[in-house]
Amino acid sequence: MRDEAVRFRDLQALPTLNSARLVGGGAGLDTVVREVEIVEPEAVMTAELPPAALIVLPFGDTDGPIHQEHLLDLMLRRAHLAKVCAIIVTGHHSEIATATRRLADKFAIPTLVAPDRLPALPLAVHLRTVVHEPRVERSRILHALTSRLRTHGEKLDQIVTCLATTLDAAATACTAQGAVLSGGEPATPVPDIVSSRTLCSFKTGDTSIAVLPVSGLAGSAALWVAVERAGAGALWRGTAELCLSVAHGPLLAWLAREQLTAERDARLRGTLLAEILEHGGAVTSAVAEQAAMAGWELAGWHVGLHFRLSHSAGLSTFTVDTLARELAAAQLFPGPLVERADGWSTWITSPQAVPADHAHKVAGKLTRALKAFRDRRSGVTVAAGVGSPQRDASGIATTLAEARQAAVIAASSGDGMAVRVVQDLGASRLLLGWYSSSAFRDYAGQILRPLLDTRDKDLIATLEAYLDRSCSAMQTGRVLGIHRNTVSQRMARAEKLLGLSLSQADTRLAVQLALRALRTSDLPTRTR
Amino acid sequence: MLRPMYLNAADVEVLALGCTFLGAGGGGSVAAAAPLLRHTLEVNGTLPVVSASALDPDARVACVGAVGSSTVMLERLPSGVELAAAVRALERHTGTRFQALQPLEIGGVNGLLGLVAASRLGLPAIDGDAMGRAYPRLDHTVLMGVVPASPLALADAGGDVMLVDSAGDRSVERLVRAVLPAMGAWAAVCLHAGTAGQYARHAVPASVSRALTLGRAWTGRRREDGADFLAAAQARLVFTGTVLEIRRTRSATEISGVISLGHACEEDRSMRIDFANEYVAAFDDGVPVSTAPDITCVLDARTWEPVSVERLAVQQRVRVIRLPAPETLRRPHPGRLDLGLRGYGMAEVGTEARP
Repeated sequence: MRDEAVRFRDLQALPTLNSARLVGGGAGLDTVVREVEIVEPEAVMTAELPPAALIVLPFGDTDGPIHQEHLLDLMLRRAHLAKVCAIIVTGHHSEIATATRRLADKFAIPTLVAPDRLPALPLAVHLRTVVHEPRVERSRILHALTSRLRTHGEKLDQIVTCLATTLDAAATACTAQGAVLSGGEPATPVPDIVSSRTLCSFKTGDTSIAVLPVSGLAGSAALWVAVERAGAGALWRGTAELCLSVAHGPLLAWLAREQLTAERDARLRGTLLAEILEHGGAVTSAVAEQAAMAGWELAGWHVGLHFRLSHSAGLSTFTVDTLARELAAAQLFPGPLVERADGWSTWITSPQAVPADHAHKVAGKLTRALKAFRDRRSGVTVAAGVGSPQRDASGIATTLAEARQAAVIAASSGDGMAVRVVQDLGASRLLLGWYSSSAFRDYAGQILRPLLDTRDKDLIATLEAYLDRSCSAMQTGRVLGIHRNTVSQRMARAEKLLGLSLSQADTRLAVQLALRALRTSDLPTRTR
Repeated sequence: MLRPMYLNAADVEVLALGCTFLGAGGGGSVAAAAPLLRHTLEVNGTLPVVSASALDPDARVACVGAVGSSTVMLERLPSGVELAAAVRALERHTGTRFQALQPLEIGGVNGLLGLVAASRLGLPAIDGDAMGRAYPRLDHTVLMGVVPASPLALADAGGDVMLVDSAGDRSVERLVRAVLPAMGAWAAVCLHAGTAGQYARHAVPASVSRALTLGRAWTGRRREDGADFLAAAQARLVFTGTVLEIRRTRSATEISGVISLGHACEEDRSMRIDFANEYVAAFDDGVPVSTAPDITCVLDARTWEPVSVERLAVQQRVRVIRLPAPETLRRPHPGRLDLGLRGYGMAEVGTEARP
């Protein structure tokens, strides 16, 4: 059960006291407040002070004496003796003297100077309501949020702004990869935020934070919305959780719309691309028009790009969006990415003939962009291929096919991030047919089945490294950090399992090709 | 005290010191008037200082002093002529000769100027004053509501004399402040013309003697901890510490502010001193330990010399002492302004929390 006791920190976090200054007694911020009393200046020495009360001391009555600040010192002393929990001064303009601040600190009585012109009576009534009926205050805030969402609850930015305004906090919406979709960069580390699986709130240092994961169409959380506020207490966190659950509906609706639109666009683009690839130079004017509207150029010199992405925990809806943003940041402006069977394709168009090293320049920028992309998202592996420059609509099919081949080769390298340009592929292009042929993949699966069934990843990795290192046990051991005898032992085991001898050149070639084919598509590891 | 006391030039130093203590950090520097009084006494001989009750109850008496900026007075020094001119002007106007003169205010420079006037005019001085300490306003006197402040005479160093024939006690301060700029920021004033009987009943008695006692107690102190001085002065040491902060607020009409002190030994103990022209109230960790009309004095921790409001500096090591106010300042009287915190525009503290 949640602790419903209101602490001074909770009251300080109320929007009413937003611009109030805490002049001392910070050590007592977490004291429970049980009562709120107004004590008029003339009653400072006589008023009864209930224990655990918050005292509102209204200064600045125009009929009274001009100087009243010293009464705060008297009040602090009495408050200390009566175990009062905090003091709020209203109607005070000037700075509070050091002696008074020290006194508040000594007694650990939080002393707040309320903003100018904040009348004491409504303030006291408001605070009393919060202290005695925190639910009333919560309802007020929820009501305010609901009214705001009713008029501004359609776009993500609007929803986030509504949350920020209502809760008087910093609000942010981010993806699992840490890309901020709306609001500012959160103060809490993004991994802490996206590790939340359900609506929750917690505290890191002085910052209170409430997090709502929003599930996408696939069922897993795709969007995290967090509200943060420094110095706020448990009451605020509770309210923030409620506000987030109110905002859950609009957020869900937004996410669903967004994903559906993306899906529809993807399908449209897919059809469009098929049309372009099929008809090449003879696309109809309607298709050309649609392509232009989708953001693709058909005339000019094109360089195809193809990306193969994978992630251990599955890819988020926003991964491709983020990739597109990263490309733009690296000064690469391709048309929209379109999903294909084995990845995403697009192309960059230049109106004039391009120099010979154009594809390499593109590859350089691409490498930078993908590095940045991977730096922010751990666990994503990405392989990219760059095609050669080709002219006009008829060339698109060619450059895209090349880019796709290059991407396959890049993926076969086994690195977390690899970029290959088709012109550099040379002899390895010859092997492409093997890698991508489904017949060979089946055959590779058959050859390697005994090895795969053991599910011994080390054994497969050692075998792969051994073949790549010209069958040198010493070099393989060095690369993998194991003893060469271990390598030899493992190879003996692999030979036994496979029922083949690696001393035969043909066998070695077949096994190495089979392993490459497997790595290029992880299909056989999934099928049992 | 029926036998008169005689004051001579040798007493001026201790008297000036006593007046500084009674000034509670304000009242103007005695440096402007001490040499003048010494010189006047050297020229005119010893000055008899008598109790008002020792005089004929019908004897005509008045208060003399200066009003205006004491800072300007250090530049445009008083000569004594202006004081005599103010007294003579009031005598001419009222058609009577005064038989004795009383200092208007014992705290600060005015404690000495009243005696300068008496000595110059060959009149005895009354051992008393109208304030019992220093106050920033002309109407902060115990004679208000007893002896009308007007008619009053103002005279400046340039020889200009001004008479206020009739002014309500509430208007005096306002009128005089209005003409001061034209008279060179400060002027000699002679007011509260009345009888010795009235003065005996209502003025603060034995102020000059008190100043002398205080001065002698200070110069005669022998002990490092000042216990002998405090006992002789009937003072109480309320705090020893370092000035942490001085917050001054200057408006067109008043000086005010707050001093924060940290205790010399207890790290988290602090004192707050509210001040105007004088130190007004001192609070030790929220306990009022010295509030007007009691006289709060801030002394240098090492030399025990009183430090005025305007000379106090951050990081200075000081001692704060309380001198009890004359009893009459606490007694309310119809027509008299509040001489406590309220007189300084501060909210009253009440009595309950007195330790």
